[in-house]
Amino acid sequence: MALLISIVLSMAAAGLIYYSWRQHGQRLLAAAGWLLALVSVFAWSRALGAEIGTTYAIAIFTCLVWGAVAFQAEAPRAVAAGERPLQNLQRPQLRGVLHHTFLFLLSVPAAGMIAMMLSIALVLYLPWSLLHRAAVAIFVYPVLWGALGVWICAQDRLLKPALASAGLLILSSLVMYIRL
Amino acid sequence: MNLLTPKLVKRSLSSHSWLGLVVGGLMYIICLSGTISIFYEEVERWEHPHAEEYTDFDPAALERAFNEYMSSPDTEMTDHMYLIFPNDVMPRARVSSDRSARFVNRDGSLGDTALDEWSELLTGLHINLHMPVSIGVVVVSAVGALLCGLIISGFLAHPSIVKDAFKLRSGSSGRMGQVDLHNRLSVWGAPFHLMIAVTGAYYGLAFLMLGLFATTIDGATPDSVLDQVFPPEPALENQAPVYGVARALEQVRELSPDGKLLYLIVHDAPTENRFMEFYVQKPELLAWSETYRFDTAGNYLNTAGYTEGDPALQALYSVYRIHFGHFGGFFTKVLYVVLGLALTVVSATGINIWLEKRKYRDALNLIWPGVVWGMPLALVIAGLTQAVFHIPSVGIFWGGMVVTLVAGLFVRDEKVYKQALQGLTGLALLVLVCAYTLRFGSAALSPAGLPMSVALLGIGLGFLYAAYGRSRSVPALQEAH
Repeated sequence: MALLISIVLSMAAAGLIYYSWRQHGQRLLAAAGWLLALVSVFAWSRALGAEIGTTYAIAIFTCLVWGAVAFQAEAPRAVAAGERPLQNLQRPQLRGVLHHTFLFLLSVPAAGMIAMMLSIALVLYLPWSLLHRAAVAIFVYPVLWGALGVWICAQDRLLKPALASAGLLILSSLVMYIRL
Repeated sequence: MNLLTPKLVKRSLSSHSWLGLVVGGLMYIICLSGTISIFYEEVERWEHPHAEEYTDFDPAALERAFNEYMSSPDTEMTDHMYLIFPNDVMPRARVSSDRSARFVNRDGSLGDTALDEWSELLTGLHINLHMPVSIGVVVVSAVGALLCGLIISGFLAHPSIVKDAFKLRSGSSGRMGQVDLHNRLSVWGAPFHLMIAVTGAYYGLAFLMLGLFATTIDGATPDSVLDQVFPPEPALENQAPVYGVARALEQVRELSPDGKLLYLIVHDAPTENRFMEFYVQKPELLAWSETYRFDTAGNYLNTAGYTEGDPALQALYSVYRIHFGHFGGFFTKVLYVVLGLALTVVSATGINIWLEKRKYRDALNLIWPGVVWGMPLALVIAGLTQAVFHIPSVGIFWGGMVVTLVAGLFVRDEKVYKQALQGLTGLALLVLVCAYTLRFGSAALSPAGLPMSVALLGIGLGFLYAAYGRSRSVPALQEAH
């Protein structure tokens, strides 16, 4: 029974959000839909346990919404076939190669190292057990890495992110290794 | 107030494109192999339709088989030795080292050698891209972290997220259709994709991080930090190489009467410090298992506390099952396949959009179908050579990928090439199933062989339909990469 209620709640949530969108963004309906989606998390948790229930609530809701997207999809139609010319690969210029290489080094390995140190520095002095601090750092650092990489790639020039990365590296090293 | 200013959107889009191009190809390979790997147990079972199947067993018979295997001069002793108990998904027992394995018959005699070749090829591709493990897991984990970045930049680059929430133009064909498909799948799937990214990043980098953590604590070493984070192993001496499996099992069933018995690992097997760990999955919990430790005579030592201890420990120990969808049975696996395929499509359409946006076509346009549609073909060919003929096929897979990439340069027409690869994949799947049936005879029709063969046939027909059936009925779909 609890499982059935959970399914109905998830369907109602996805349905309401979709209907509100069809009605050109009726905010009250959308809010009700999101509220039901939240309630469904509790219903799923009651049916399957908190951990598995939460995972199911998210996964089922996502699939139902994709179902609505498929339902709403335009029928396949002929796309104007404007054939683009086929040309040889352009030889990259040295300046471009250097720029992209530096950007890669800064946004991937360097950002990864900085994010790792930063996430440790962020939790190091929190009044928790080592286990809790390590767990938080482990789950936070991929997001920090991704966010830092995105920020670096979004800059027009590389000087600013290079300086900021160096600053973050020094700051996190100070927090990690200088005992006050 | 509009937080997403045009400047922020433009910069985020440029950042999203750059990062996507850097990792898009790898991410596609990792996502597709990960999606298929959800069913690695079913593939493993399919590879051995001859193995005797049962779910209820006599502990004394398994003890006999394990001790026979452990004392056999033919067994190459490795640090960890395993006894895997039969269960509903994999109703056969087996004993193994890190390098080889044997099935165990119901009567406790040792059965055939177990060669999980295709399933290992698939999981190895997902976990470490067939690189040396210590390097491969770091690369794959880095892709997981960058997926977090792609999710963040994707949201920042998408100002009309509410307006377009359910829009899917041209049934996903054409550039606008590809953009819509990419955005709809990624926006609504973001919670799942973020979870996959964070848990995926865990494998290769968590231990690196704990090592770095150790450098901040006076007198700490990576091992001492590990011992504080994960329950330390017991220190034993003078342990005889004879294993009281049945006695320990009796106690495990008392300790966890409703648990699902997974396997037994003997740690430090070649030394006299050896001890046994029984892994038991608890219902309603995502933690991989609870672990009960015994000396080799079967005397209870302690419980690791992964399911009853600190919530942080439980969270760390839940990563595997959350990442691979190994909970809740077959339905969860199907759900994860849908969600995993969506992320695979997001990876492919991201590159498609970039390629379609350019005013010209070049070699990159020609080779990309070789990645997207060449990978399934290379996997099926490797499956044929590995599962049916037992030829080591990692090289065949990567060789196949190189051939499909290069062949695109000669075909010089992406649409024709995509159609040809789809058709060949469908054909290869039909050949795989036929060869498998011929190789294993009546065993191919057993519960271990038939369901997977039928599924592979269905997928093969799906590929053939995509290549030839659909293209006749809907010519426009050929426009999509």
